[in-house]
Amino acid sequence: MAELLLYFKPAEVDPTAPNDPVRRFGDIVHVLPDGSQWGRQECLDDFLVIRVEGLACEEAWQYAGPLLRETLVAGLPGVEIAAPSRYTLDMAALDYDDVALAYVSDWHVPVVSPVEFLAALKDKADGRNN
Amino acid sequence: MAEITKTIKPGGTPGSDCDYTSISAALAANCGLASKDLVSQTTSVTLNCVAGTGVDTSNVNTTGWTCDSTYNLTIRGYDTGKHAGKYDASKYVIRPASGNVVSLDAAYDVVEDLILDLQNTTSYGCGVKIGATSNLTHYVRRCIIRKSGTGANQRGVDAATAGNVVLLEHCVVYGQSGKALTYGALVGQNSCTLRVYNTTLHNCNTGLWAYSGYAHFYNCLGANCATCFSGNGGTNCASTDATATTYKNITPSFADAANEDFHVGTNSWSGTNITTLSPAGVALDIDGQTVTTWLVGADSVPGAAPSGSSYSDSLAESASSSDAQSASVSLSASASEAMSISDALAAVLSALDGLAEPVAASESASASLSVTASAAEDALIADSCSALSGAALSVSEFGSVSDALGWSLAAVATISESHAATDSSSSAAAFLGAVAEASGAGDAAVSSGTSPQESGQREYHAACVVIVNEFMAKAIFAEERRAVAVIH
Repeated sequence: MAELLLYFKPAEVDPTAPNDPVRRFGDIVHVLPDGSQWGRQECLDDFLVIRVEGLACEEAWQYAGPLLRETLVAGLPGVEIAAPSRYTLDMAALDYDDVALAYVSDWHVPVVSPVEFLAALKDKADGRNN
Repeated sequence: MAEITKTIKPGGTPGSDCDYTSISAALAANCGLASKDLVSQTTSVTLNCVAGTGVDTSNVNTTGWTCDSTYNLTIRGYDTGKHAGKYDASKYVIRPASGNVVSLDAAYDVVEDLILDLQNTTSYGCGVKIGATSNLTHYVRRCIIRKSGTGANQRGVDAATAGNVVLLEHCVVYGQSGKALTYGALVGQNSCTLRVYNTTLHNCNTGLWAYSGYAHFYNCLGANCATCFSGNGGTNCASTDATATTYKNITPSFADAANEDFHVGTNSWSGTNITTLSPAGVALDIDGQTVTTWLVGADSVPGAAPSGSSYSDSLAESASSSDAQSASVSLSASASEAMSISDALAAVLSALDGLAEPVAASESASASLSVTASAAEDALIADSCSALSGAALSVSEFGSVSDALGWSLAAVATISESHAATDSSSSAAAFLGAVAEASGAGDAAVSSGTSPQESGQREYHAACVVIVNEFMAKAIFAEERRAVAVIH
């Protein structure tokens, strides 16, 4: 089972001017096996760790990659990172009570079902959340 | 000026102690700062990457960070995470599932002593990709850039962004057997500059490729590549084919190339002292040994570092540009004598600019010059002239006085160390006089139109020696032993 490190700093009021020029609220930043000890600064208010039932690390890694963009400079094809996280989770689609527990209980890890996870998963490549 | 350090340890081992488990998380969290603007916060950041139980599977991307030559971002292998000059899975390895391993997109960002493993299958993926922001400078030092996957058209280093200057120093870039990199490193944009110094390239379709832009290849070693050098054969570079300008069709004695150990047992190919070329940091080879004799390739001190003698933290500290900058700035600030160090720097740079043209002229005519001096004197003069000529030509590339000062001191220290002729009793006035005399001598030699080869070159070169020695004496005299120690 995989644990996902989500970027958890909400955007400012103006969604066109977020706190971070490259990250979005709910971005999947990193993946580790469940039970891992995350860094002491990988916690609120920067990050939220969630555990996804039934999701293997090997599968989860595909969600932690960047959004890539092909380039052509001086006739040379290449690839660059358009966004550091291709996938983001719509936090509103998750169980709010479980997420809220993370605020009051140290190192509480909300557990998300596979159905809930896939429903919340957004792919920036489709343009809906980029 | 504040400096903050964060520890990165991959794997998430229970009981381990670190700030973050990936570099990308540290960067996403602004490394604990309020924002990614290091300049406005007058802060430099160093990410110390130590060994964990796994590899770092996330991409490193410095987009969004606002830095300058003083307040910058350094990402480095540290302590248990620092490799010993060859691939070692137990060290800090960055191996993302897709895309470029490292994307450098912040001014003066530094990546050093890390293993970058391009194992994914992203077409055109890179070990190091220069980001989209124009006019920045980036440093990659003592890194092992490795392709271990089957992706098509992958590159070790891809520099193709307008106005960027990329310095690749003492790195090893290679594809595993049967997994050749398409390009070891390339520069592919008209106004982009790629400087590759003392780097070994192995098993690439093309090792170093100057497609367009400015390519400066010094002391590089291309081996087992279909084409080792393309578009530029470099200076004092060597190749197993005939594409290097200086040493062609050589046979390097790698320790164990089949097992990715590119240390060399012997090395008879002399190189250029790269500390005289640009802000290259301290001179440490791929496994952290201090370079005193410049040879070709990443292992410019042949052989692996002796057990227990890998370079110390103090040297690692001095390797970071932020520390070098700190030393330079403090040098300027504490000059309390009649002539400030910044004035001295201005005088030196002015003299160097003045020297460039006549030195070049006299050098071009040196083939016909009949000399009567001793061989040792000739060597001394030639070394100094070459270094200072390179200095003058590089001065325009510096973005700040402190940047230029730091580098000038490094060049001066190198030359001074070689000739060991400092005079600690020298006064500021004497120094200025030497500078003026040097400029005047050169100008006179050029304007006389009589025989610059005979009357100019020797005076010029002798004056160069005076300048550097006086400047070194001044630096010591201004009780900047710390700065000098850092430079050394």
